[in-house]
Amino acid sequence: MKLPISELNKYVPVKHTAKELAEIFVSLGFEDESIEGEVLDLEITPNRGDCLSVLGLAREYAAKTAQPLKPLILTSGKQYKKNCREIEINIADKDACRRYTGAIIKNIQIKPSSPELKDRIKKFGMDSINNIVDITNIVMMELGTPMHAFDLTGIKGNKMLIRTANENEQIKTLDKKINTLSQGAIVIEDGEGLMDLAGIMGGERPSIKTSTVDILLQAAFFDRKIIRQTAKFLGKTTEASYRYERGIDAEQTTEAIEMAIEMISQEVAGAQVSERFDINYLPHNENKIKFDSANIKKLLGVDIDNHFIQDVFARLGIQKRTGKYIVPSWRHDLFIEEDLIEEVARMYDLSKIKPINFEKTNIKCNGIDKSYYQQLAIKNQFVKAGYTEISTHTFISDRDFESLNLNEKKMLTPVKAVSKELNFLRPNLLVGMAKIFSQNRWCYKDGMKLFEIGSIFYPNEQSHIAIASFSRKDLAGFTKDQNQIIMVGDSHNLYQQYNLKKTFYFLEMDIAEFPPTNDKMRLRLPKQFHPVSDFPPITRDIAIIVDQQITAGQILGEIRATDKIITLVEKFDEYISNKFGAEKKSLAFHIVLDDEKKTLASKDTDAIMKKIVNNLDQKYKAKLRE
Amino acid sequence: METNGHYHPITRFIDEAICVLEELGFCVIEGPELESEWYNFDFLRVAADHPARDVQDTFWIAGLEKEKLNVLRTQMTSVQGRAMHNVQPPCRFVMPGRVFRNENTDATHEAVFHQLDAVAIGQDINLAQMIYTLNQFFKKVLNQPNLQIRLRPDHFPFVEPGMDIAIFWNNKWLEVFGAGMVHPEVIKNMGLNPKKWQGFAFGGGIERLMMIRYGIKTIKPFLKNDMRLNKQF
Repeated sequence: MKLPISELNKYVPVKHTAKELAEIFVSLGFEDESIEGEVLDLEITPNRGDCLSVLGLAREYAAKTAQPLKPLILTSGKQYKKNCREIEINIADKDACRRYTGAIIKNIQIKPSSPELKDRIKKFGMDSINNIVDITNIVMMELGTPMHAFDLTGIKGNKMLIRTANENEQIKTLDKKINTLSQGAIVIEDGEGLMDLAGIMGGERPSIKTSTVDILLQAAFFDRKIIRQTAKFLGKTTEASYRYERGIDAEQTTEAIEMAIEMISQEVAGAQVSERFDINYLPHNENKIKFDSANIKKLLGVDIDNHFIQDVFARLGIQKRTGKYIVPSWRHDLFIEEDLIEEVARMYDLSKIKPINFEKTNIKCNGIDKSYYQQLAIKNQFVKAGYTEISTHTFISDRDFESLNLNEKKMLTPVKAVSKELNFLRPNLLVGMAKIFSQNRWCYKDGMKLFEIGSIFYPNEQSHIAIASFSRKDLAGFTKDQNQIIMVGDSHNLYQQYNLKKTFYFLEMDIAEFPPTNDKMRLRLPKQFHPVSDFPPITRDIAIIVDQQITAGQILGEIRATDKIITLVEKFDEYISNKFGAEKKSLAFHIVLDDEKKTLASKDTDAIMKKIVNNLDQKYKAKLRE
Repeated sequence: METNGHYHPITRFIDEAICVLEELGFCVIEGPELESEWYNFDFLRVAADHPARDVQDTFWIAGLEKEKLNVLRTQMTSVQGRAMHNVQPPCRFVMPGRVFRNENTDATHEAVFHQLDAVAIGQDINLAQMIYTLNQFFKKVLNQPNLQIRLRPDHFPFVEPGMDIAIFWNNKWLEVFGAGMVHPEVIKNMGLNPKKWQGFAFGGGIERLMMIRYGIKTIKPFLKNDMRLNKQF
C-alpha cells in the first residue's frame, strides 16, 4: 500500500520524517517495502484490510502518537433516499450484497484530470485515466472503499439487478476480455444482460467514455468470500477485489460517495447531483468482546497501566459498553480477548517487553520421542567409523524413476510440481547417493564412505539408512544378509545415467532394523568454514617427516593457513618408524584447493604447494618424504 | 589408522540448536514429512481458502484423499498437533525437520529445506518468557553473545498475538523467525482447555540461520553435498 505523507497529513498532522514514519509503522506491524521521497510503501498483512487505505493507516498513526484524528464529516446534512428513482435497483441475493449506495450525477465532462489529481494518482502508484475514474480510485485509496462509475446511458432499460451468476454466464469487462463465470459470482444485470462484474471490474458497455455526460456512482458492500472465489477463479485480482477480499468498512459507503461528489464538483464545473440513494440491508449485530485487563499481565508477562489500555482502545475506536468492548465496523480481525491484547501490545511496543527468566523446570518430557536421539547415536557411530553424512533431495526425476525399475503404483507423485525434477517422491535413498557420487568424482581417490538417514516414500513414509563405499568389505559388517548389498557398477542404470566412472557398493535398510547404539555425543558447529566454489577443485597429497612430538593438528593448521584457496586438509596417514630417523614420524595429508572465481591452473597450485613445503620446513623442520 | 568422517552441516546445526533448548527443558519430538491436511492446515487455523493451500505453493500428493496423509508439510508447526496427543502439559518441545514448498527455486529458495519450531505450554507461560528463550537461542546458535533481537507484530493464523523476530546482524535487522502466543483455538485443537492452558511457539528456517551465521549467500550448498563442504563439518 503506497502511503503518500501528503495524504496522511490530511487526517493527522505528521510530525515525523519519512524514515521515522516508516519505523513507526514497522513497530505496528506494517513492514516498509520502500521509501521513495515522501511516499512509503507498506506491506499490509491479509488480516488488516482496513489499512489498505490512507484513513486506516492514519488511525494507526494517530493512535500510536496519541494525536486526534480529523473526523470524517462529509455526510452531515446530506439526504439519502432508500432507493434510486431514475434506475430501478434490486438486490436478488442480500448475502452477496448487503449495501448498495450511490448517486446520480449529471452534466459531467470527461477529460484528463487536473495536475493536482494526476499528482495524487501518481503518488498512489496508479495510472491516470480520466477525471472521473481517477476520482473513484483516489477515494478508494483514501477510504479503502472500492468505487465504480457507470455511464448512465450504458445502463439499459433503466434497471439494475444485483444477483449471483449461473454457471458459464459471460460478461465482457472493461479490459475488453470476455469472462466465463462460475456459479455464484456477483453480477449486475440490466435490461440487456450482464453489465458489471461486481466488486472486481466494471463491464464494458456502461464504462466511462469521453462522450459520457451522466453517471451513476457506486459504493457497495459485496461479500468478501464470493469476491475472493470469483477473483481466484477468473485469475482477475484488482485493487477493488483485493480490498473486498480483505474486508472493507460497510458503514462508510456514504462517506465515499460524498468524498467523490466533492472532488467531482471541484474538477467539473456545472456537475449536478440529481439524487443520492442508499439501499442498506446491513444487520445490526455488533461484535462484542469480553476483556479483563489482568489477562494482559498473564499473557504478555508485563504490567501495563490500565489508563494506557483504555486509552488505546478509545483511540482505535474500540468502545466500551456494559463491560464489553465493541469492535469498530472497519476491523475484521478482532474476535477474542487475545486479539484485543495484541492491540494493546502493538501500541505499547513489543520491544519494551522485558524478558522473564524461563529456566528449566522439572518437567519430564524426555523419552517421549526417542527417534531423534537414536538417529543421532547412529550418525555418531558412522562418523567415528570414517563415514561422511549426506542429505539429499526428497524428490527424484522421471529419468531417475525409469532407471530404478520400480512399481509405479507405489510411487507418490505431487500434483502440479513446479519442476520436472520434482515428479516423484524418492522411493529409496539410492538415487541421491548415486548423484552425490557423480558430483564428487574429484574426491574418489580419497575414498568415498558415505551415509544418509532420511525419509523414503514407497508408498508409505519410512525412515531409512543408506551406506555406500567403493569397498564391499566396508559394508559387510552392517548386515547379516550380504545379498542386501547392491553393486552399482557399469551394468547398473544409475551408473550409466550419472556417468559414475567407478563402481560403488550400497546398502539400504529401514532404520528400525539397524542395530541401536547408545552414543550420546552431542554436536557443535565449527567457528567458520570455507565457502565452496562451483568449479571442480584440485586435490594434492603431501607426505612429510617431522619430529614425533609435533602433532598432526599443528601441521594441519599450518597448511590451512598458507592460502585462502585451501578449502580442506585431511590427514590420511601417521606412521612412526625409525626408518625416518630417530624420534621422527611420517605424516600424510590430502589437500583440496579451490578458487571461488576460476578453475585453478596447475602453476597456481604448484606455487602454493611450494609455499606449504617452505613454511613447514621453516617452522617445523619438516622434510618432504621422497 | 582411520580418520573421522563428517556430519552434514544441517545435522550439526540442528543438534547444537536442540542442545540450547534442552538447557531450558525442551525435548525433541519428530513428525512425518507426509502430513494430513488437518495437522498441516486446519489444526493451525489456516483457512480453507488461504493461498498457502494452493497447489502453486504446496505439494499435494496425487490420488490421496483428504483424510489420508496427503500433503508434504509446509511448516514444522504441523508437528504441534501430533505431539500434543502424546504429551500432558506443562511441556516444552522442539521440532526440527524437513519442510516443502512447491515454488520455483532461486539463490535463497529451495523446494526442500529445514525448519525448527519450538512450543511451550503451561498454565502461566507468557510472552516475556518467550523473549528470554529467543534471546538465549539466537545468541548461542549464532555464536554472538551480545546479539540483539527485535519483535514486531505480524500475522500468523496459529498465534495471537503474533510477531516476527528479527536479529541485528552486520548493522541490519534481519527477519528470521515467526513467533507468538499459541492461539486459544489451537490450544483447543490440542485437546486442552484454553481457559486453563496457554503458551508460546516460535520457529523458522534453519538454512537461513546457517547462511547468516556463516555469511553465505545461497541456500544451494545444503542439498548439493559437495564433499568440500560436508567434510568441513
